[in-house]
Amino acid sequence: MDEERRRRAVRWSQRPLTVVGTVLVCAYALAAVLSPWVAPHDPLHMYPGLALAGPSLRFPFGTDEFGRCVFSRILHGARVSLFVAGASVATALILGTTVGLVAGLRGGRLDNVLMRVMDVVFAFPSVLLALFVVGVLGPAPAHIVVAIGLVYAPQFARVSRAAVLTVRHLEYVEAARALGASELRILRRHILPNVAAPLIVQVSLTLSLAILTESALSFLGLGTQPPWPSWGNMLSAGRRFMELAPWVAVFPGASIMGIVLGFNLLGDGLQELLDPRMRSEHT
Amino acid sequence: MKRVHACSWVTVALLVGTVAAVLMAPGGRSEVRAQPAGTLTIGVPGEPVGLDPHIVTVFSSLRRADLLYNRLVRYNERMEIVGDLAASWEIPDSRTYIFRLHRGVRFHNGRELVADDVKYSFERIADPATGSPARAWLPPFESVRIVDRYTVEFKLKHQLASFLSNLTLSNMAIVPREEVERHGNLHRVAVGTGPFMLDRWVPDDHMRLVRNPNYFRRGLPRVSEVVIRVIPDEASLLAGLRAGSLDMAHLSDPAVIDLARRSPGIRVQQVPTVLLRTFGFNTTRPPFTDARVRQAIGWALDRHQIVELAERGYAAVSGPIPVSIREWALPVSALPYARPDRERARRLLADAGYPRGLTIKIQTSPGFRLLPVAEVIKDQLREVGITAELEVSEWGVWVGRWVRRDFDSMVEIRSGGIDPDGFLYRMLHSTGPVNNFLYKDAELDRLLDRGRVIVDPQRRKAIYDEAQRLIMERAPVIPLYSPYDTWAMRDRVRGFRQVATAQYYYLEEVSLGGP
Amino acid sequence: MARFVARRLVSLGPVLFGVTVLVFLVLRLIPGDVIEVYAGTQVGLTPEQRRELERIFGMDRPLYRQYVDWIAGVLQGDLGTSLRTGRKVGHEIATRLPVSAELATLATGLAMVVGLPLGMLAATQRGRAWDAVARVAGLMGLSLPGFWLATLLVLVFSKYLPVGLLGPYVRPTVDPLANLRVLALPTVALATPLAAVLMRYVRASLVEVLGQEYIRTARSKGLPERVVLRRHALRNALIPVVTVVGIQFGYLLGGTVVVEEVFGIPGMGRLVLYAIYQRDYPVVQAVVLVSALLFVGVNLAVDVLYAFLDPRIRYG
Repeated sequence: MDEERRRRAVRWSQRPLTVVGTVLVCAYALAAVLSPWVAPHDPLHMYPGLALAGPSLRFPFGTDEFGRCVFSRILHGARVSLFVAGASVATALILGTTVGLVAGLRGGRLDNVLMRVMDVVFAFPSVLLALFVVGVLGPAPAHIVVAIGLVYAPQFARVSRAAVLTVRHLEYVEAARALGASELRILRRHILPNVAAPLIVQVSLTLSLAILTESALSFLGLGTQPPWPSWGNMLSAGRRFMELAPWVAVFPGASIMGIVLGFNLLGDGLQELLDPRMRSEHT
Repeated sequence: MKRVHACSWVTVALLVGTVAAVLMAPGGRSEVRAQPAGTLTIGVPGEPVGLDPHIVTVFSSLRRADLLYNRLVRYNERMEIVGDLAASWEIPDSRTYIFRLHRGVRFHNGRELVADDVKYSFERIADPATGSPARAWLPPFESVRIVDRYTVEFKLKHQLASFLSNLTLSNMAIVPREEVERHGNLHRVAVGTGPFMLDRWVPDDHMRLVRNPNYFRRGLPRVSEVVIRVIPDEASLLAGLRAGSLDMAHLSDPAVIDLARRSPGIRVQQVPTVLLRTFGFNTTRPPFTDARVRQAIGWALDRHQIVELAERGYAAVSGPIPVSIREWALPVSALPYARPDRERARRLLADAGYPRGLTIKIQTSPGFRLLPVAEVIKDQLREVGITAELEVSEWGVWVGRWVRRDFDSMVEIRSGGIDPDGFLYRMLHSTGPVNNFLYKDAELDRLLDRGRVIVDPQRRKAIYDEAQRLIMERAPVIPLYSPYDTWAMRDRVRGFRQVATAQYYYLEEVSLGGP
Repeated sequence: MARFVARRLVSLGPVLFGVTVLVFLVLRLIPGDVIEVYAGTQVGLTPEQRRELERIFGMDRPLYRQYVDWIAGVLQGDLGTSLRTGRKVGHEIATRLPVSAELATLATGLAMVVGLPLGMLAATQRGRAWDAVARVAGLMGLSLPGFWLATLLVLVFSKYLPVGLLGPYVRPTVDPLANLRVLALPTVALATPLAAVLMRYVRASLVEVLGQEYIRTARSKGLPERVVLRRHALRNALIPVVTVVGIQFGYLLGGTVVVEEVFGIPGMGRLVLYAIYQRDYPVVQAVVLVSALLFVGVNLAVDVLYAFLDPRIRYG
């Protein structure tokens, strides 16, 4: 087992892009955790005389239209953006996987009904879904999370259901069932480990999609709401100043690109590591 | 002119050349005007929602009606009421208005406009089945009488000093009965008397209006067609101006206005509007039941700084009546909160029982620049110990809460016509339809009731001066500023008179110079 | 095969039914109704005026009645009438759908032209420099928020490169060349992330196929790499890509709000966005139903194509 773990670690470190992804994600997570101590200014404080000031020692990324420190807002925005991304993916994961597992394990009519429900959600415009959730529940980051989570739940349902179906009738699972193992035990011992790999990959990819979805919703005025800075709402407010004061948009934009890149590279790395078919080819 | 031959282009070119030569010749007669020529392409951010001038409420729809229809009277750029379809009018007593119409005015369908159309139009507005928002702006009529083919007499049940002013609203258009009856409503057809006629409407794309050759103001319009393009993104509007695919653009984003001002070949024209940005309170909900808290907020706010940060300076700080209505508005310096006084704000809060400050909620929405204003207010209130929490909702949700008065405090944009009665009665009288502050003040009610019916300008002025002071002192709402109405246009666009109401009708006078 | 298609068609019924119920309820549960938004904050309706408007808008009927009437209309081919503009929704969609369809086709086409070769390059050069370059380029394309990319394009082509690519939308029937010119930038904006997605799928799928037994066999027979690639690998690798293209195309058909907003294109996305903002129930309901239909229809077509391409897949 230790040998296997060591080999994995080696394979991991041999892929420079995967390392880049890991480093990026860790750096962002660190920024989010440390932002209150690292940020030079209060992210909400306005310096009225200094609106749209360019990058300087005092304001490393310049100031926005209200004279707020863009650097501090990016750091604090990391918390909001990563929270929204993380929590919404968690929502989608829990919701989607539960549906997918139940549908895959039970099969029959329940399977059919559940998957049709997921199809309905999938075919439904996400803007309307977001407006509904946020409109009814109110515009808090937690509700954006629910909205984005709902949008991505069907994909998790499909992935997990497909994974269940591939292992459900394998011999060793049948054997365990024949030996009288409970459904719960079969689920825990045999099914979950097999479902985990595709789900982990799906999680890392959906994390980046959630970041992008949040920024698109911000563009439409339905995302995380000011004054709390998320990279999405900073970018959508800052894009108006692209010509006048590019730093207001460029830094949040670059932050989004960086984290999306990070999640994707990490996801690719995980996929190669966990997907047995890909692994076999490489050895 | 359906088929255009090469030779006719030559003719046009020669003609234009000749006219230009005449115009530029020293001592040339200035009355000589160019033939109406050219396409004026206008970019606006909003798509109209229907065209029926009596029914629409959306800004973009009303602005199309400005070009397609006429009203009895209208405001000029100096905020004076001048005739539109009415050649003249008289007010023999304060409840009787007699309008004499221009003769020979024709609807786009060719029929002449007569007094009966005026009567019909106002009956249609007043009919609840029409669902017209303009109904609220009309007094109950005792009678609308056709004196002769070109004269119509309104008898009001009671005096309404703002009556004439209200008739300038875009909703007060005169429409032909037969077209309403044929189509049910005028949402998709436009048969007015206006300077332009609807040629083609491709929703969310463009609307082509062609010059009305029979327009009753002779020599107008000065362009042969107007194409109105809907481009929601203001940066793209500016891009269109720069690229020359647009001649004019109606802007509201201060960042884009800034850029337009710096762009070569592009001119920016601005006037303060009759709109008012307000920060209002639900006076039935604590802590805003206490006038001292509201006053404290008034003293805590630096309205000039709000204009600077949220509008990049493109607005004028205002009292309860928008400053652009110069006749009635008291100067800001004569009213409370002219300059922030944070010490006083803290004292008032302490008196009200909040020596350590308090937390309030501000209801706001991303549209109409409500949100940036709320953000600045939040920041300023922090200095006197008030923590403001923003509750940001999508526009429809926000409107829903407005309708249900479900808010603590709220940033809004208010319009109320041009007459102080229209503005203040509706907003702050205890029975006012848009008094969402739920403010009840017998003293103010009395003033507003009197201002409504007293016609004598001097006595009226004294009443509204007092009302403005009272409103500021008791502060059910803090008026912030009047935003500017902004047009950016290419240098070749000439002669656009802007009115503070932001109505578009003077586009009929716009002409196009060289390329 | 025919049975499979028939079964899938039957299963569309419940999904579309679910969509109609969901959109109907969701619209009415969102705070702020069509009358409130119509009257805005400047009018201040009295209760009588409100009731009158409810009658005009047909909202005085019980909710189930409104739903049944709507569905009955749809089944007779009448998608309803906009409450706010009085236009027939069917007509409205008929003018918007071709715009979105053209843009979707152009964007998908461009994405395939760019994405497929890049993905093949990355897969065949796996682990080498070109692979890394292609992957990072692809990920860059994927990681730009759409509205920002669109904004950047507008800025660059209005200020620094004014070559006439920006302009109002022109119908292809009016001037096909001008139409393509003004759709160039929106197409790029839409195609960029899509090309990135395709490139990733092609790469992953080709890598997997190249590891299969039969490819090794082919190689061991001494076939040149190009032949192996073209005759054996590519065909099988592209099968899953078809699904991705299908899903993405289905999405694009429903309109792309962001790009339409920035470039001012009169497509389906803006139609539904403004209808949502105005709570114009018949419009939203119809557009959602039609785009759901398109979406599931395209997916069905893809599945059929999939089965056709890959004989191993059998449908029971």
